[in-house]
Amino acid sequence: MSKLPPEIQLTIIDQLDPVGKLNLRITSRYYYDTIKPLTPNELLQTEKSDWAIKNGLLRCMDCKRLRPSSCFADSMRKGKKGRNGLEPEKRFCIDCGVHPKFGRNRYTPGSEIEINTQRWVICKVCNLFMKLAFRGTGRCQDCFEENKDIPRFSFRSRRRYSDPWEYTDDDILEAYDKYMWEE
Amino acid sequence: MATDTQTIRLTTSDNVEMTVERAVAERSILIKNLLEDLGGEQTESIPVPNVAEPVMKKVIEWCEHHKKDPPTTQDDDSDSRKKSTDIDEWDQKFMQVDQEMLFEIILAANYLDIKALLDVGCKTVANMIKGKSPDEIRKTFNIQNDFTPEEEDQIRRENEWAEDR
Repeated sequence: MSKLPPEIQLTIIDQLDPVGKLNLRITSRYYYDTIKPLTPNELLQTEKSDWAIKNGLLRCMDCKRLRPSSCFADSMRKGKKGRNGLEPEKRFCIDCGVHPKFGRNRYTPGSEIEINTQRWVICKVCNLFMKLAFRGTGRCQDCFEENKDIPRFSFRSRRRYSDPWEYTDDDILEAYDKYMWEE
Repeated sequence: MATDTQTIRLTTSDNVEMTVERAVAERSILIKNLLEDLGGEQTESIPVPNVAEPVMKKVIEWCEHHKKDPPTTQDDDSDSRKKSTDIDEWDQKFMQVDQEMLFEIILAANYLDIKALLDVGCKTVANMIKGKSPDEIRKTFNIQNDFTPEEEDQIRRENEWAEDR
């Protein structure tokens, strides 16, 4: 196939469905560079294809890729944000929910996430993504058993994974004190 | 029309002379324009240096079958062409040749400027890709997997679905 001139190869690629494009794209470096990644619309279309249904694939709007449905919380797989829901463009996977892109509001400490009928939480004490102790506690099993208290200003230590400057709120407060009030 | 019975002669790359009905040969825009430009009676043989005899035979076979199709206009591109990947039955049978030949036909159609045949060829190749896993595509078209291990790792992360297939 590489013997064909590029413009003919492009015509062939144009004739492919999104699934075919995806598969051809990862065969070699040449096609990886030639074929553009799928657009959100194409991804949506792919998600409803027989192939995606057979392999249980869903699309995450944050990382813009197809992922197995086990990577999504229950609320993302059914109902509104499900495959045939009204707002599939609002779906995001668990990884993107726990480590959001900078500036996006996703799961926050204390929010309970149901995955495969089990409840998980970003613990308000240790800030880790763990299994929830009991409903409404906002703490993971370990922290709950050790009876650790939720720090009062826990919002300050909120995780900011993708913050490009890696400031914590404390840094900002410190700078604020230093430069604004020193004189 | 009087031109219907007119014949012209073509010389292929391996120096074989073929006699073809003019109306059939004019499916090729290249030859059509050439004949128009020359005008009048064409007695000399037309050289076709990029196409070998067996391929030319196939192409002419196709042109003969599609002789009565309405001629393609220059700008009916995009819409009707892209619409579907269906190929009519006769074309499908016609395209059941080995890969080498298929590509040769596509190249010849490209050179002779026969849009409809080029389309059929491209669609056939596209249909060969459809429904195959990356590995199967590599095998079918003899594509070398030239990713470095690191790149492969990244691709695996991007395309988790490709793993277990």
